Amino acid sequence: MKKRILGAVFILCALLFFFPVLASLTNSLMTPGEIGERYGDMKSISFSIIPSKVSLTQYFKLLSEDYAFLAMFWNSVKYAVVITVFGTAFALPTAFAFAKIKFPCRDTLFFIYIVVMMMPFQVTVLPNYLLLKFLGLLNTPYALILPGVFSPFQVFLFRQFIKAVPDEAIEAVSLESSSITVLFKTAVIPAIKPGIMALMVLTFAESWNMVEQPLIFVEDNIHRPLSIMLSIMGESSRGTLFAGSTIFLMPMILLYFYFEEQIVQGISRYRW
Amino acid sequence: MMGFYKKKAMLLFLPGFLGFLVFFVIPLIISFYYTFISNAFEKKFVGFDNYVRVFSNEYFQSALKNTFILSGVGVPLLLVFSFAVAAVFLYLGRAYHFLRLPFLLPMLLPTAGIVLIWQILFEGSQIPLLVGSQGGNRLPIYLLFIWKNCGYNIILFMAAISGVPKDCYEASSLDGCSVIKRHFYITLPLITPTLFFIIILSIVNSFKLFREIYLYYGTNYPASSLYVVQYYINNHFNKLNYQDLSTGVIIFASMVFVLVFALYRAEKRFNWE
Repeated sequence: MKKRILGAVFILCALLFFFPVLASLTNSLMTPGEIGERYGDMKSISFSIIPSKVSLTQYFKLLSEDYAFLAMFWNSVKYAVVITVFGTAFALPTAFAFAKIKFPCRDTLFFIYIVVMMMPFQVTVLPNYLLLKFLGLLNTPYALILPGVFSPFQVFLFRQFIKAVPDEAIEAVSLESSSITVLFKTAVIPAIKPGIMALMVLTFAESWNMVEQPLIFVEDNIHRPLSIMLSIMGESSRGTLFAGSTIFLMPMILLYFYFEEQIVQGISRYRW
Repeated sequence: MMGFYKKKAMLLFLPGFLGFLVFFVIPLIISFYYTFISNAFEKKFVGFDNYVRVFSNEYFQSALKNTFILSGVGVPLLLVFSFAVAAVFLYLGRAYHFLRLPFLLPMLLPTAGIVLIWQILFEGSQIPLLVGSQGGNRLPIYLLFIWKNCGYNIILFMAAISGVPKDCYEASSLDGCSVIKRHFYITLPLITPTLFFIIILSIVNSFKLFREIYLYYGTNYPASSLYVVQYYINNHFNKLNYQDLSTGVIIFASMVFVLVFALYRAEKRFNWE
């Protein structure tokens, strides 16, 4: 009996947690007029999650009138995909070396990775800006892609994962072939597959969510991702803001549903 | 046997490592250099002047205070909440596993897509508890922080708590131990390594709260209780005040470093294994 009561309370709590997403979804189905009525005046808002008339006007208006929206959406996709793919590609070999190969200063270098990983973005914003300016990469997609690709977080987590792979497995492969590609394909990657998937999803989410970097490093709207636009969009097109938010949330929601099991496994199986 | 792969592994190791050096380590060192010069144009060496000046600046002090309050209150709240939810999940069993969704999903959701709802709920609504930030209220940000970050912690806690042998619990309940006490004295010590990992990760995430605060207020000068260090850094960046910016950065970074290092040492001391 006690379990049931706790279960019911828990379900309530979970619903509360889901509420923001739900509200975003249902509000996006209201007509822009209704949005204006309800939320126009910040002092007297009549919040609701039930539209008085369900309609897709917001989406239609947003996608057909706001030419920048879709362009920025694909920018976000581009950044997220490139950073995830190349970031993982660069981080895996680096993490492998940290985990399995003994070389001078290895542990000190890895400690530096940990230290840098803890610093918020602002710590390196100025020199990064100057460096990118010097390389002529400001205002190009590379300004966002390059720092993202070499982020220490992936190397850190991959190194923890790879450390758990038993040395014997690697030795076994070394008897068959001296190619490192074969080693990766047969021993390393299969052993940490859920971890790789979980990390790729997390990296994708992180790049999708990028806000400070585009604000500072990229000024032209052509190259900006969608995460910026929603904060700029505020005043002029309030009516379609919810549709914009929902479209922006959708890919991440879909990714979650697709990879839920791997994400949970990846995070829980490989820890400190 | 590892020697077999050593050369090739080190070759492949280099690109990622060099990229990291170029875009993260060297910038940090350059920041350090900027803290000792007068300004971006004269580049005159001024010793520790910048440090003294920035440290005594009231805005910087207020920024530091706000940052540490936000983390100091937010992280424990987050930890207690995540632990409780993880414990409940384990207690309720497989049947309720489908409820993972609402707790894990926020971890992946971009802040920019969600902050609108938060603004509406807190700034404009009539619900008494959900007060906006007029009086220096940090509640919306705390809730946003917990909402976004509990998922990861819940998974880690669940995995760690599952690893605690059941007989410990049985023995304690035979001795008449209440649930809360049981968790305190048995579970916590036995999940120490993961616990410290979670603590460190949560602290690091709390420093990233700047993004949430920035999007929520939409301006470079938010309510005074939420003016965190990153705002100081950002605003000085806009004013091209390189030396103050870098000094603020180095002061803050050193504090974070000391904090995490202390936690790292504490973990080594408390570790049962």
